[in-house]
Order: sequence, then structure tokens, then C-alpha cells
Amino acid sequence: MKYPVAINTNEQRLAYCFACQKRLLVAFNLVGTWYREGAISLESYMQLPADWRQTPPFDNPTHVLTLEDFKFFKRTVFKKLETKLIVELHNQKKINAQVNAHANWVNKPKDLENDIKKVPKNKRFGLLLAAQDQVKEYTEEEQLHFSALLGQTKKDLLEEAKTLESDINLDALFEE
Amino acid sequence: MGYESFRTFNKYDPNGDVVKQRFWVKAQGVSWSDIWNVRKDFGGDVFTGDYVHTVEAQYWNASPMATCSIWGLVQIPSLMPNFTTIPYLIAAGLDAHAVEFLHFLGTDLLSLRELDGGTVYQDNNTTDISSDTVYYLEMERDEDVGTYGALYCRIYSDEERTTLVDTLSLALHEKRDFEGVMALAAHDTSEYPDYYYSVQIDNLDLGLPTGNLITSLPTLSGEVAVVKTVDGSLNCSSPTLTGEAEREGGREADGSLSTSPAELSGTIKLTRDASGNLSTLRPTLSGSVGITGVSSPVGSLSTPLSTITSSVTVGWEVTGSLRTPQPTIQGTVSIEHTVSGSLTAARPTINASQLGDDTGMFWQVRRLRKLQYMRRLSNGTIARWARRRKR
Repeated sequence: MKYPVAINTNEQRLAYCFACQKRLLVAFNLVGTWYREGAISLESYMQLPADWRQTPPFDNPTHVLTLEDFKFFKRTVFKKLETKLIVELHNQKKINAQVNAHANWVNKPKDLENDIKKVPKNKRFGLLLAAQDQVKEYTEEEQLHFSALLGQTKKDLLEEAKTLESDINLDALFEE
Repeated sequence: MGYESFRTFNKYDPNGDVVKQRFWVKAQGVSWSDIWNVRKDFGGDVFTGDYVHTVEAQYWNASPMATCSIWGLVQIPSLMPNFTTIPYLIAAGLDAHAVEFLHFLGTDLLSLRELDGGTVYQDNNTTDISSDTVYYLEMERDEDVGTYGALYCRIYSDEERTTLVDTLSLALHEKRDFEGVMALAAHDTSEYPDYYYSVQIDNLDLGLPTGNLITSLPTLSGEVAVVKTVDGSLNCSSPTLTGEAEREGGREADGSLSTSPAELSGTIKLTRDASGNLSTLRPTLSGSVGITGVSSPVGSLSTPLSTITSSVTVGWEVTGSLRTPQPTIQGTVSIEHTVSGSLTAARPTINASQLGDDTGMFWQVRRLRKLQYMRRLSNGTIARWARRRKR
């Protein structure tokens, strides 16, 4: 996947992948609205990836999408782009987990919340990814706490990339 | 594809908090420490390769902390025990795919989980979700993504699944086939018995076949069986069937089972709930035609054969009708339990000498009389024969 020049650390790449996923979600929902309401504005239409706009019946913004059209969209053009993105996202998750695999402080779940505050916000999610294999040793409350922390740190990471989200060009991500 | 009938699922609910209807299950006011579940063992690696499952889910009235499973595929070493929950699977080092609701001190999460030998890998939503809201979920395994495949949970806000709220995903750590479904289950902990929550799931679709199976082979020497949920019809129009045609395995059949072989030397049977018809349309049947299951067929059993040399049996409650308009019955026609429909024998000859158990037949007729079906039978040969026997 192509990253903007400013995106060059592992944490930034992972955050950028999450932002791209959100951008894809927005594009999906534009097509969903097109199907539900029977029409799409030209402005919304132009926000769709070029690949989608070149694929019949989505090549015609005045076309009234049927249920079959929408199902076709989900299993073809949307699925194709989503899969490319997920492969990269999972790759970046793996890299972020691997670089934090040495962290042993996560063995102490009671101190988890305090310990994690000692590292920069954008590094926390990777640390927790690396700690997942220790969760089975936790109590139920600690496991729940861990899940809540994992969710929050993922949100924090996404927040870091939020300013980039509107500039993401889904067409350019996987250009040769 | 169609919705699973939860009537065919097992429920473990020692406190009586879980209500199970055909297409929905609700756990009302359950404690975080309670162990309960609604589950089903499909008896084989049914969930192999890619799959797409859908379900609708919501929770409400959650205490400061609570969590439960709202969908799960489970590895089962033998039988799925009553205490099958995520904590049990983790402790036992088993594998599963699951989605859980989590409520933790004001934070609400939907968590997609892979259990790999007890290790939990998870991905949680970043878009806020809330209680008292129905979410429409779509779980997918795509084995073409990555080394072991990818697991997705797409969260939608509408029934048609056109508005995405969030997408959760995991790179799987193992290729694993599953045979058990944990439709709804506690995520129990003994630490907080005073924390309560309520949860409901609706319209679980496991992507199992529900359409028509048509075999029009000239010769079929094996078995024709539908071992999963069937909403359509099973139609065998082969001229010769030497094996068995059956529906069984605890699945509900809403359609009809129709066999029109010229000769059937095996058996035709519905062994569980059937709300459709069982009909055999050819002149010779040397096996048996039976509804022998433990539940209630609500359709009809129709055997317009010219000759039945064995038995026609309805072994349980029937709210439909049993019709045998053959010219000759050499076997037995019996209804062994309550019938709220009708028994009609519309042909003149019954070879009573080959009925085998006269007393049994007499007893059956007395039962029918008791059930006030004699009026329907009074014009029929069976009734006349029964009166003769009584005298």
C-alpha cells in the first residue's frame, strides 16, 4: 500500500490503515444510501473509488440500484478493495505486535492502566496487541479491563490519523 | 439460506432466565456470575472453509460490568457440555470464533474474538455503540486472506445491512473447522454475582442450505438425506431407490419430502419436526413410511401407493392428516400418539390377515374412537373392520 510521505513509523502506518478503513466505510455507506433512496448526488458519486464508478451498473449515477445490484456491489468491487486493505491492516498489526513483543510489564494486569500511561499514546495499541497471549491468565474482570483498554487505545490511534482521513484517496492506495 | 430454528438448539438455563422461541433467544436479567447458554452440536465439521453468518443482537440494563457471547462457532472435543461458555473454552484450551458484547464502566464494546488453544485474539469497535439498540451483524471467514484466513464482523445499523457502523477483523492463527454453534451464552465470572444484564438475538442465519434438493437420477442406490435445516423441498424422482430417503439430525424441515421412485426398498422417514408434507407417489413400497421423531409434524403424510407391504407409521403428534388411498394394504397403518388431523383409508381392501398385530390395531382404533375421530372413520373400512373385531 502507498503511504503519504509523512507516514513513516509503524504506529503511523497502522493508524493510517485504520483511517483508510473508515474512509472505505464512508464510501460503502454512500452506495448504501444510493440503494435505499434510489438516487445519489453527483458530489457523493464522485467520492466513490474510480474502480467502482467504472463497473456496471455503478458506472451510471442515474441508475436506480436494485437489491441484486447492492449484493453484487458487496461481493465484488467493495470486497476487492476491502480485502486489499485488510491484508495491509493485518500486516501492520503484526509488525506493531512484533516490535513490542519484548515488553514484559504487561504481565501485571492490575497495573496495566497505570503502566500504559507511561508510553506515548500512539504506541499503546501495539503494546496491548503484543500482550494478547497473556490475557488468558487474567481474571474475568482483568480480561474485561484489557478489552476496554484495547478498544480505547485503538480509538486513540485512529484519532491520530483522523486529520488525514478526508485526504485519503482510495484509488491511489494500491496503484501500481 | 434461512434463519435457524432455535427450537432445535439445546438450552442450559438453571435459573430459568432464558426464553427461546423459534427465531429469537432472550436472556433477561441474568447475573454476570450465571452460567447459561443456547447451543447446538451440528454433529460434524459443518463449518468448514469460508462462511458468512448473520444475526441481530441487542443488550440492555447492563450493570457496571457485564459481558456475554452473541455468536460463536466452537470446537467440541466430544459433546458440548452444559457449561459451554467463553471462559470454559479458554480454560480448556479450545478453539472458537465468537462475538461478544462487553460493558465495562461506561464503555460499550462489540468484540470479535478468535480463541486459539485458549489464547484470545480480539478486535473491538471504534465507533460508539450503545445499549437498547439493535445491531445487525455479519460474520465472515475468508480463507483466501492471509496465511490462515481472515475473520470479519461487519456491524450494520439497518436490517438490509446497507449502513456500516464499523468493521472488526482478525488475521486468524489457525485453520479450524467447527461443529458447534454457541448462539447465545454467558461469559460468566464468579466475582460479581450482583451485576446483571439482558441480551437478545434474532434471526440467526448460518448460511446452511434451505432450498430444494432434486435428484432425478435413473438409479439411486445410496441415501438421500438432508441433514441440515431445510425450508424448501426434497424431491427424489428416481425410478429406483434402494437406500434411504430421510430427514433427520435434529433439523427442522419446513418444506416437503417427496419421493416418486417406482420401487423403494428402503425407508422414508421424517425423524424431527416437519411442517411440510411427506408423500410417496409410486406403486410399490416394500419399506416403511414413517414420521417417527420426537416432535410434532404439522403437515401431512400421504402414501397413494397401490401396494404397501410394510408399515405406515406416525409415531408422534400430528396436526395434519395421514392418508392411505391404496387399493391394498398388506402392512399396518398406525397412529401411536395423539392426532388432531384425520386418518383416511379410501380404498376398499385391507388384508387384515397380514396386519400382524390385531390387538394392536384394535387398540389403535379404540384410541381413535376415544379421540372422537370415529365420525371421520365411520364410513371407512377400518371402522367397519374394527366393529367386527370388537363383537
